[in-house]
Amino acid sequence: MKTQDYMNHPSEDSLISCALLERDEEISEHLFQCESCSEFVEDIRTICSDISSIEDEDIPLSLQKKIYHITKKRAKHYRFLNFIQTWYRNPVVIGMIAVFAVLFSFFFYIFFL
Amino acid sequence: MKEREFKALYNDFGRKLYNFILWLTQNRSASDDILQNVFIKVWNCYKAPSNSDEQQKWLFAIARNASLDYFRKTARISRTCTRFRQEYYSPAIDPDASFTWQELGNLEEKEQSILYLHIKIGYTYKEIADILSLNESQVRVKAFRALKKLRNCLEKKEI
Repeated sequence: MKTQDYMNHPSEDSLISCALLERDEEISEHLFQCESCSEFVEDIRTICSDISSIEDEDIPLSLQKKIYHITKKRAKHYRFLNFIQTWYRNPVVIGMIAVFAVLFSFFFYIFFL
Repeated sequence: MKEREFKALYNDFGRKLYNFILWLTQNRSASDDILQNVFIKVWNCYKAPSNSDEQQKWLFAIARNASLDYFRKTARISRTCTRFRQEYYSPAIDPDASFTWQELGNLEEKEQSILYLHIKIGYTYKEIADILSLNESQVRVKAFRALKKLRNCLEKKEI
């Protein structure tokens, strides 16, 4: 039978630690004897189990689409910015400019000189 | 960040983040906006952490900061977060649960974050301290304080 031992109640913090599975032999022994403390621990455990049993909700499809859409828009934007910043490193662009320069100087030479 | 990496982050952590934000705001449309902002920030970010655990911590920190930004913005309109919540929140909790969304809303934002991250996600106090930029003992104190507050509500109900 449980008895009340008011002299040696552990602190509420120790009881919460115990409820959060931080084991302590002394407190476990006390809980076996003290009804009010074991009630306190039981309440904390109930709160914790209620929190962990809250069901996760799915992300709405419309939101998922929005997130992907923004990414795509931004992806295009960034691709363009990236091209502007790095075009001179692109061998295809450099090759095209070289070919154009050769052709331009060739036709310029034929028609104007 | 590459689009493939972005989608992987979204698929792996999007739902967890959404529910964390929902827990903080207790408001579906606000959570939609905040999650969108979170992923815009992620997309604009130069480089995400490579380790999965680090990624999750990093994303929770971004989500929390985005929620705080949102609270600040809405506070200008509706003065306080509490009023904002009471106007729009949509409870999705077990009716027999030991606490209600409203009681949860009365906790400080940090206390709410800590409870969720510790009890629901399973982070240690040390990991939460990293996410919230607090120290370990502060996190522990706040967690205990939040649980005591919820327990007081439960006790009042029982009486």
